[in-house]
Amino acid sequence: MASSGGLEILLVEDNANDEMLTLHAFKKHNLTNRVHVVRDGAEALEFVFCTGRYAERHIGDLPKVILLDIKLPLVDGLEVLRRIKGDPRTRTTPVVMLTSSREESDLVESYRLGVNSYIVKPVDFEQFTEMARALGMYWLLLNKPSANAAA
Amino acid sequence: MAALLQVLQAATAAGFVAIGALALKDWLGRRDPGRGYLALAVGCLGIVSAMGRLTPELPPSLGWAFSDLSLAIFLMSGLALLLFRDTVIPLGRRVKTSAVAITGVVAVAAAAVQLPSGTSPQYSPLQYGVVLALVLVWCLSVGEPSVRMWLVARHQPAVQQARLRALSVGYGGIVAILLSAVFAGSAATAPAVQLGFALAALAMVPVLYAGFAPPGWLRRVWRRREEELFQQATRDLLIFSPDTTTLATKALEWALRMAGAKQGFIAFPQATIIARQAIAADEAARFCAEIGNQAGIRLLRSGRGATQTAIASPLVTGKATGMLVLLAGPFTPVFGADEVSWIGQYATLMATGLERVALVEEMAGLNQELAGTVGKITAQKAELEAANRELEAYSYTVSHDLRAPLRAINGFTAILFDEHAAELSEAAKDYLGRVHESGKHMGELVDYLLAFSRLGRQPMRKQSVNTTEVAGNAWTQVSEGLEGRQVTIHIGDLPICESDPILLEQVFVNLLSNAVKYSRPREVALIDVAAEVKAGQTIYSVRDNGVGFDMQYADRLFRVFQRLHRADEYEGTGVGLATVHRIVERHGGRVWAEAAPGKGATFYFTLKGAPEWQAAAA
Repeated sequence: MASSGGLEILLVEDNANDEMLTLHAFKKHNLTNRVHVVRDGAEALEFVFCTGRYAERHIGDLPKVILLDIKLPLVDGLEVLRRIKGDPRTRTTPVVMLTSSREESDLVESYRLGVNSYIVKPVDFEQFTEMARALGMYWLLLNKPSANAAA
Repeated sequence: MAALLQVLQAATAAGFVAIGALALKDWLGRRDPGRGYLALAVGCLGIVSAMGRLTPELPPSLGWAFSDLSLAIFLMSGLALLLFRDTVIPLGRRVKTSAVAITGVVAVAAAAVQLPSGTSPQYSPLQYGVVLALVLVWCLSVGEPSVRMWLVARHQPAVQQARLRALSVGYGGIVAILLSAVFAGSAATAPAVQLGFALAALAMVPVLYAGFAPPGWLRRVWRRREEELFQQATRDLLIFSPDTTTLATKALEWALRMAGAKQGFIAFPQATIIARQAIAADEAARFCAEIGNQAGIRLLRSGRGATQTAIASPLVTGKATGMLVLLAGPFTPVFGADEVSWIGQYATLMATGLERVALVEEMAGLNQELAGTVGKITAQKAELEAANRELEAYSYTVSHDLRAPLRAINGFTAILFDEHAAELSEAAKDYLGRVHESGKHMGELVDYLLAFSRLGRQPMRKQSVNTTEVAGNAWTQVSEGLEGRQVTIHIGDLPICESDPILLEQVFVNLLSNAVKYSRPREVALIDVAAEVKAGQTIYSVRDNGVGFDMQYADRLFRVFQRLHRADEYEGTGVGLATVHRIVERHGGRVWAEAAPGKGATFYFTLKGAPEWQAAAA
């Protein structure tokens, strides 16, 4: 893996329960070792662009995938997505919307901004666990990232 | 020559008598002071002419008395004309008194000096002086009004102008002849000169006649100039007036101008005075009340006690009646039949104009009302749109925020079951199972509710749809997971319809699921999908042989979360039929059901408005 920090997943999630369930599902499928969790949109931006609390981080050190909720405190998910996809340094990092919103407008806007995938969190836990497994499998093992992403 | 002179003088005398008679007749017809003086003036002139013809036939004993009488009448004719002028333009008390006094003095003097009569009288110097005074007084009495009449005629309508000028020329002519005869002295006795005077006097007869009672053809000739004016007035009335007041004001101006009147008003509708000119509002109201409904030429008593001639023409429109009233001014002492008919015609046109303006005003009112309504609708629409946006925000919140806690409930109970089952007692597991089930059920409710609310907001994509195929697809969906059930379905030949195929399929899915669900107790469930055309409208139906329901609760069937069966008997959320109802309604159709407990149920729906008989029955 090219990323020196070895970070694989950035989970942007403000709901502690959802965070716990997601991490629980990842753990069940042995995917928890390199997940970093941030709890609002502002922290997510600081992390990605290495500012504020994450000033010592290196911008080239990007996760393999960013899981992003839409409804977030401070800066909402769509804005975070817009900033990531609008910056040439971060544009190639895969972003997956992981949200409760089934709203057509959110879906359309996310794709317009260049999201790589849009997933509605299932209410049913079995389905939820299955989703987490498939997500990890696909983005961490099957998907081949752009060389640029690791540069 | 002498015979010719005789004939001419006789004809002139006859002419004056005739005109005098006409004037008298006119005065008898309408007795106002102006006409009275005019009749007196002309009548006296006629009498003097007639007496002049009689003088030679009388015995000399009567001659001087007769001659005095004729002189008095002659003077009276002049004074009467001056008094006529006074009714038109007041002379002033002093002038009037002096005129009457001087005339009286001259008449007395003439009687006192015993003027000789005969064709060629010999005057003493005193007598000559009296004759001179007499002629001068007469000429002044008549000449001044003649000149005055000529001058004021300028601002009158054509007929009035011509009549005044004719009177002016006629009297002026007589004055000229008389003065010439007096001052010509001996030359006047020459036969040729006498003949000239006689001819001139005779010529004055038709001129004066034209002034008093002009024939129709003459009036028409005089009026030609005004025809154009009339047309202009008409056009103004019929086309250019934007509102009632403007129209009435314009119309009154034109009418006054054409009739030569100076005062007038228009009452419309009934006694409402909408336009008036040169008359006080209260005076107009009083006249209006006095006239009432009686049109034509009327004599009205003004506030100051004077009488005024008025011409009243009715204004009749489809909705109301009114009156155009013109009051005779100083120089329009007489309205002819022509003026009356003319003003009548104009009044008719005016009524048409009023009607048109009323329509225009009504239309403007309606337009304004319409604009108001449109404004209101626009505001309501904006309100509705705002409410709709709020609803969207609401359902967004529901979608996002309600699902998160549900996921936690489901997730953590699942984890407890999976990983901590050993630590839980049986009772704890039972309770936990209930929490888990309830969470799952609530999740379904939220999902249905969201789907249902989305139904109302999604745009419809109507197209020609093969209904049989849609019903078949719906059945394919519903029949999945029917293991262990015996279901016989018959889908008839359904006519093609105009609808959104996805929504229509949802209708069939929901109706068929219900049919399957509620026929569960039957060994063999029978489901029949059919269509029939009634009153030009296709009615689709889904019939089952299930448990049915009591029709008295039928009105609750299509409401959200309303159920006719207990959840532990028949699972469900109470959204299925509400969804059907909403879809059908959005297509402009109706849905209804027929059922009886234990005897199955039939659901009917249409897609383009319910037929009359059904709407009445429902």
